[in-house]
Amino acid sequence: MKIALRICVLVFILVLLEGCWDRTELNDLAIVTAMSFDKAEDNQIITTVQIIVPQNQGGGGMSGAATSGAPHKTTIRSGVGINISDSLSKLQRIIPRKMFWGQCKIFIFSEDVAKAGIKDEFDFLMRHPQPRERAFVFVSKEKAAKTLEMFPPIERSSSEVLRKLTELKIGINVTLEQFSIMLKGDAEAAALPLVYILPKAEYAEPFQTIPYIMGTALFKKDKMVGQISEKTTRGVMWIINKIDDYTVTFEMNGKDDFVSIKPVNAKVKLLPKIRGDKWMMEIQVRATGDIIQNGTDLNPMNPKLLKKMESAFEKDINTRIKLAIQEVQKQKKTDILGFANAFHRKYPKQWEKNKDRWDVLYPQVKVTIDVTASILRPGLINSPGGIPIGEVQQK
Amino acid sequence: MRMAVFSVVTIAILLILWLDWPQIRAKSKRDKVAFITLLLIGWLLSLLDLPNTPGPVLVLKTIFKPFRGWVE
Amino acid sequence: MLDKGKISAVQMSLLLYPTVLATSFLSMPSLAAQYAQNDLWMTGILSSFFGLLTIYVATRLHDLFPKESIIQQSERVIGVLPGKIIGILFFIFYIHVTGMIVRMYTEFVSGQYLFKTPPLLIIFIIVLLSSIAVRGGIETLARCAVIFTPILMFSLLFLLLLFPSFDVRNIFPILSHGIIPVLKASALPQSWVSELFFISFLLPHLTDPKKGRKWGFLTLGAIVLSIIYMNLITLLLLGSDTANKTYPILVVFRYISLAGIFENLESLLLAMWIVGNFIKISLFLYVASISFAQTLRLSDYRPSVFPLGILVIVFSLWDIPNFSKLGEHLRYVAPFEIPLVMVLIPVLILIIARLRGIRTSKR
Repeated sequence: MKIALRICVLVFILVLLEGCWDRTELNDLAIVTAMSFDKAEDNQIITTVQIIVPQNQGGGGMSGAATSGAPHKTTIRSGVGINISDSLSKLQRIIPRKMFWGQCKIFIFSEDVAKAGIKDEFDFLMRHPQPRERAFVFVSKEKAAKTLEMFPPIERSSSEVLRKLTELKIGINVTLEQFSIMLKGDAEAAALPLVYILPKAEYAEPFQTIPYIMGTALFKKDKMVGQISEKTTRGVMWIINKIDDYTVTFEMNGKDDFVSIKPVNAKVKLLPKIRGDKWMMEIQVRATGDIIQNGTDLNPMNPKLLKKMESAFEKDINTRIKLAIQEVQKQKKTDILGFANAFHRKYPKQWEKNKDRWDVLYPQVKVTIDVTASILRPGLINSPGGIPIGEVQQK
Repeated sequence: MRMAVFSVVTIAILLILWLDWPQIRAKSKRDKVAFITLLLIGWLLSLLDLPNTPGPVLVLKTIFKPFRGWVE
Repeated sequence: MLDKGKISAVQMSLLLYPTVLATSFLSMPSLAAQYAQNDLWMTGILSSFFGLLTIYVATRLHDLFPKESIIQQSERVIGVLPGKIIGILFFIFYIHVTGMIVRMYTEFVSGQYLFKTPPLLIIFIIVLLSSIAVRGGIETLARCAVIFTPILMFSLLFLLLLFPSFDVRNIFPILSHGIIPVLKASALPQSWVSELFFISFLLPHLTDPKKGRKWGFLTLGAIVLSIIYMNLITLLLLGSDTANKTYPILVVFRYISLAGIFENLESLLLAMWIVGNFIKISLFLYVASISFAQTLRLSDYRPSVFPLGILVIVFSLWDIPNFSKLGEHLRYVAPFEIPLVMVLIPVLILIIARLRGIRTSKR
């Protein structure tokens, strides 16, 4: 009797172990790799998802199938609705499998959606249990769905391309969580990388191209208010201490001779100071790098000449940062540099008093830049290559 | 929900009785009464629509109302 | 003594650690951040007070009356009838809190992982499992803890993988709003830490009762360190966004991504949650059963376990129609209700015992 009971219990447990109600087979899942949001008429949202086609994963498109016979590794679907949840439920109607977001690492807002304000959509992304906080967020200049519609020659999907480009740290990279922190932070401003579509090569299949990142979109509260160019973005990256494995090319002596330094690693600190009524910020930069290209006729093995190069390097960094400050602080008046945070951390009392005035206060903060740059190594050769020894400046 | 709760509890009680009654029978009156009372209370409570019935949460909330300001 | 089992002091520690932390560790940073903002990492330090007090009182009472739990001790100290009233109050309280814990457990599992499974089933299964363990006696529970608690503790180390994403500046400004918000934030952890009073039910089973106090304090130390550790990591990662999350530790675990290998670790979190809560619910149910049996002077606590389990299920549903109500209860009532029973009453009993000049038990 007891044995029968135990067997019953065992069977009961075994049956339940796979999770009756919530069991999901892998074949029943549509693995979403990227999601984008566009505007439709009447303020509706078009949600587009990029789904992996599991059958075509293995090296499709490699064999000589020259025409459009090459199977695609991803496919996209769109749904229209009042908000994301609504459009997703309509989307599920045209996808035979249940959407699975565990692999969705890219979210793209179109510029239209960004300018109108992303707060509703963002709430969904943070509140719903499935979207991952570590996914990267972008703003796309063109229709966001187009960026998902591409079939890159090398990577598996355009979302993979974006992810890898982001990890190379060419522009700023912002995860969902970081975006949330920025919006909830003291400055109530945020920055997201901008995505463009690379014009495809002549010989390529239709849609065989990649999206790429250039420039940054600026947000105040939840609306996009402007954008900054690639050059300014670089300057901003210096200020927010995101310079890592970078190439800097600068001019020496105004002679049209350029020196390139890579990898540039920099430590940047923001040092706020409040003197009475004056709010000041010192940007302290300590940068290092090795020479990879020397277009001058100076021999960097000579410490004195090296010093000249270092000063030019410093000047260049200084100029970049100044440019970024000019545009982001004075013109665009959006604090994506972390100034608000820096002041709050060091001067909490003054911050509490003035935080409502930050919009007015921020452009008035006086910025000083203190750069120290060191060039560590000259690379594999010492004198500039390609010039006869006689013409090299040794002193 | 109500039916589900009630039926689950009823089945559970029946199973418990089936399992434990032999032991209980051999014990003192006091043990028997305690056992039966517990089962009875549980069974009767499961008849109510539990999630929406005011109960301990409300009682405790009222008792500790004056302290609420401390953790507001 | 109703349960003749014997456990070692280390096993006692391993039983108590998840009892305090299993449910709280998941939402704690968010609750603390809502009061203390970026000072939330300090709440760990401040919440040790009730723990120290409750362990001291429990061990002192045990010195006076060895091999007895608080239920029996209170009868000795304040008389049979008042003692019985205390006993009844205690076991009803324990059942009620166990119901709350089961509900918290179910809300997380159901809301984040098993969306379609009926929550009643989740409740039923964990209560069934715990009841079976409790009927096995304290030694069974202790052995489960020996296996499960190290899993819980070791998994917390994974949070260190987030090291590259930390922003140390999130700690500043320190104490910009003074110490009061930090005190308010530590109200809830204080109440969880006072659950260490369960040591009163474990001391009678120790092979070496003298080690009880030392290991009790060691457990408290480990708990406080864990609280500081988790609060700090959450702060360093999420910064000002911490207060907005329902389950900050879930977000933190989801964020772990190292070399493309250590990803999607929230499944580990679920394992930790289930395992930790199993021990917690089992110990709570055990204490409730023992209290019930001791108050009514029953000959064995085992038959009452399943019926009490049914009551636990009832309490986990009663008067809690949704998550918000549960949250409200946990934030505004629990910080007072739990220390009242776990700290205040034992302290009073100890004081009365001393006042009546009771030196040692008459056996």
